[in-house]
Amino acid sequence: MTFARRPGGTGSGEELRPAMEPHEAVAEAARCIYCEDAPCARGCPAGIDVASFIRKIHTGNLRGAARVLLEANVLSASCARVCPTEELCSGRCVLPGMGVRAIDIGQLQRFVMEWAMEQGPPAMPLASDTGKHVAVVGAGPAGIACAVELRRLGHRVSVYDSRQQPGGLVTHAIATHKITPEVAVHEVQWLAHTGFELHLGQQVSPADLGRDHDAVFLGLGLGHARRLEVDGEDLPGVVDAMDIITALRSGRPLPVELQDRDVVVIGGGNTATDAALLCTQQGAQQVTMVYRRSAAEMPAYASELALVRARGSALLLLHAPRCIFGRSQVEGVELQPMRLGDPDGSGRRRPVPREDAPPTTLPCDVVVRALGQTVDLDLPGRIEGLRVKRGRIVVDPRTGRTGNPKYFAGGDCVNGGREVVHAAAEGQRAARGMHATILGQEV
Amino acid sequence: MADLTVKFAGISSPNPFWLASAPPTNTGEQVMRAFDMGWGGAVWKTLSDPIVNVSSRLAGVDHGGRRLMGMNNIELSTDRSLELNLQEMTQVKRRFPQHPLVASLMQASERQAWVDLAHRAQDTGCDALEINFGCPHGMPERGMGAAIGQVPEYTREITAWVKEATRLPLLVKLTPNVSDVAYIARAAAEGGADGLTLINTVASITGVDLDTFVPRPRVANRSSHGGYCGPAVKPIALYQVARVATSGANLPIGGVGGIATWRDAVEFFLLGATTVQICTAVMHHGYRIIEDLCDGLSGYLDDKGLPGVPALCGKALPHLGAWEELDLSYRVVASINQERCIGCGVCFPACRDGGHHAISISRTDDKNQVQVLEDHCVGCNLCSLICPVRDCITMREVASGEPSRTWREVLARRETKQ
Repeated sequence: MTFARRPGGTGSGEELRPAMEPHEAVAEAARCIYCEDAPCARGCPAGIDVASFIRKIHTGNLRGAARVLLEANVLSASCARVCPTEELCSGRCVLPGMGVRAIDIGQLQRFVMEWAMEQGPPAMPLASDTGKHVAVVGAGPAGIACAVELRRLGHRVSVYDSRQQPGGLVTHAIATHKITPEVAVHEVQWLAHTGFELHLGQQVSPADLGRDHDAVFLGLGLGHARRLEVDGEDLPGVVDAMDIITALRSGRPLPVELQDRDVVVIGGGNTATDAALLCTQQGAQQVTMVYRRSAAEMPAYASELALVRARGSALLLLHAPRCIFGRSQVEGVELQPMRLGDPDGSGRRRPVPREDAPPTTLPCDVVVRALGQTVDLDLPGRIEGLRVKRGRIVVDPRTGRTGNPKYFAGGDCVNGGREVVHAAAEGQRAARGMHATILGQEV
Repeated sequence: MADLTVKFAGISSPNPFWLASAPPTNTGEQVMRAFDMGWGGAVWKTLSDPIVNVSSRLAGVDHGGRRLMGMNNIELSTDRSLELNLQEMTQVKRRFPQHPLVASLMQASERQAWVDLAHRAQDTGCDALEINFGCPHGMPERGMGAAIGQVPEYTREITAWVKEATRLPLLVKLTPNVSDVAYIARAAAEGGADGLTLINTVASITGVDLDTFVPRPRVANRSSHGGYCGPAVKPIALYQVARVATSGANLPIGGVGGIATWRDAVEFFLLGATTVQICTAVMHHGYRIIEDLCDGLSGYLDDKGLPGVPALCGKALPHLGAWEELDLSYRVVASINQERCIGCGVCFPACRDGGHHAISISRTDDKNQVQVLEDHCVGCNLCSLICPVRDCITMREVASGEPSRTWREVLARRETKQ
């Protein structure tokens, strides 16, 4: 096997980091010391045998490297770009222990997947037809991972999505510096060679699907943005982070003008950091991220936060919005200084208002809410036996099965919004759970 | 700055670093530029009957992401006319009287041909002749190079022919492609050689193209075996130099084979070389490496408080000998510095599968923890060789509780009992 030059034309032009050239990939792979019981693999939610695929790059066996990746995670191309590798696999690399840079696992994975996608349809053996038919609702990471795994196991699969483009959040809502929509869509199209049917732009009723399919997978994602529940929240100039991100991804007009505006982003997660970055990119004058706890409790990854700060955003910790004020539109936010109290249910220290500090005001033109999302209850609500708790669908953690034995679920609608790799792993897990249930096997 | 001058087979040299007979000594322009940059001496690209060289000629072996761990070539002797070479050698010698210039010669096994070539070479004013009995590719098929250097009788006879024909010091360049180089070295000494140069390149095939099945380097749709050189051959060269140094040939040695740094050179001196010759490192990096070769060697001599290079010659040889002279009671065991250990665990499968099951592995705080089982450890060094962290696994001397004894003594005792 020879190393072809890395392909262009996959839309990587807008992405922040260029892909590795073959010689770079081989040199990087050569640095891997091929750990025993490698810590990097233990850090991968999809359980990719990282050392094995990297060694295969080194030996010039790219076909084998792609096989290792796809067996564990069919969305390896997306995950290579959007995974917070410094928090997961690369974050556990032992090399920094000897003063050497960690292996850039994400870039190596991307190199292999770009090569694999250039070779033609994915090389995945499919089991013979079981005669069973499964419906997958949602063509996001969980749904697609589930669909591909079901195809591998020999089932007929129909995937439904109300949007015109597949890929879910990866296509519609991840900041472009990580992955462009073209790459995300291309990956789904490539995986569709395994033979699942893709029905886009179709609003379906999961309850109806249950009648004419052997099983149904719910990969619904999250729909409702959480509100601040403070006065002034409905003033013009208050927007949801997701609306900015999806508008930019799809090329639609922004929900609010950002050029030369002062923007306050409220929230401490990775959607908040994405939104802050995009506002800066769109010409905002000053971007301030406001979070009610301290940096230690922030769900955003340190690397993302560092990027936000490097691009000039300010970070205001231990402040919670009391109200948004303005005559006909947003003119500022009133903030209550906070302190940390006892740990809450999530194990993080709870923010408590400081009695000794009066509220302060922060003038601004735009307020961006980035407080997370909950599942859209309209869709799954009509399924008998299905339980929703704190905005998430409840499933058996081993199989992904919901309270209704015909229905399985995974991804953000189950985990409340985690990484793409978690969604992919949960989709794959549910596929195996469905396979066992449909064929009456033990899991 | 230490005194780097050396005297080799009666030839004085400003430093012990010579260019080996190879592409870097192809022309007068090259050799003069090399001398200007500080090279001590040069052995001219081998003079022979007219030949034609092929395209391509070189193939490399990379390792660990670095280029040219080894290189092989299928180039023959000079493909320029003898007249032109001799004329340029004369010019070089006139401009650089203090720098040893050596003519490398190769001929078919005819006495008169050797005598004529030796006469013409010595007329250039060069300082010595080096007869090439080492070339492993192309020339042996014509009865030259290694075809002579692999047979002690031929080596002795032809050395004697050339010795008789010249007043210059005579060096013989030896091939490593023999079962025991000591026989050839002694034969050369018997023939009258004044010094020995070794090693020439090692017969080799660097690789095969997996798509076309043509080995490298490719010439149209074929290849031919070549001579291997570069850092990969240094251990072979060190052994052969030491072997010749203790062979009883009693001749000064010019060490060649994989020398790229002053540290490599010092190892050759310690095993018995007086000068060293360098080719591949120059082909890789250019003549400019001479600056650090001299600078590093000088600093080393100063650090050791040694008066010059001759003080290094053969100093490792008293520590080298037959296996049967090793102390069987000496014992080391692996010792892991847990503070430096990064938990990669690579020592575990190595010892389990390629050693003696003397390392255990467990996981604490999500980190691999490795421990040496001293009762199982035979002190083979493997784990310390593969550990990616410097000074993490070291070999610790432990008292075996037994008196020192060698295999030779064990055998002697057995014989006395019988």
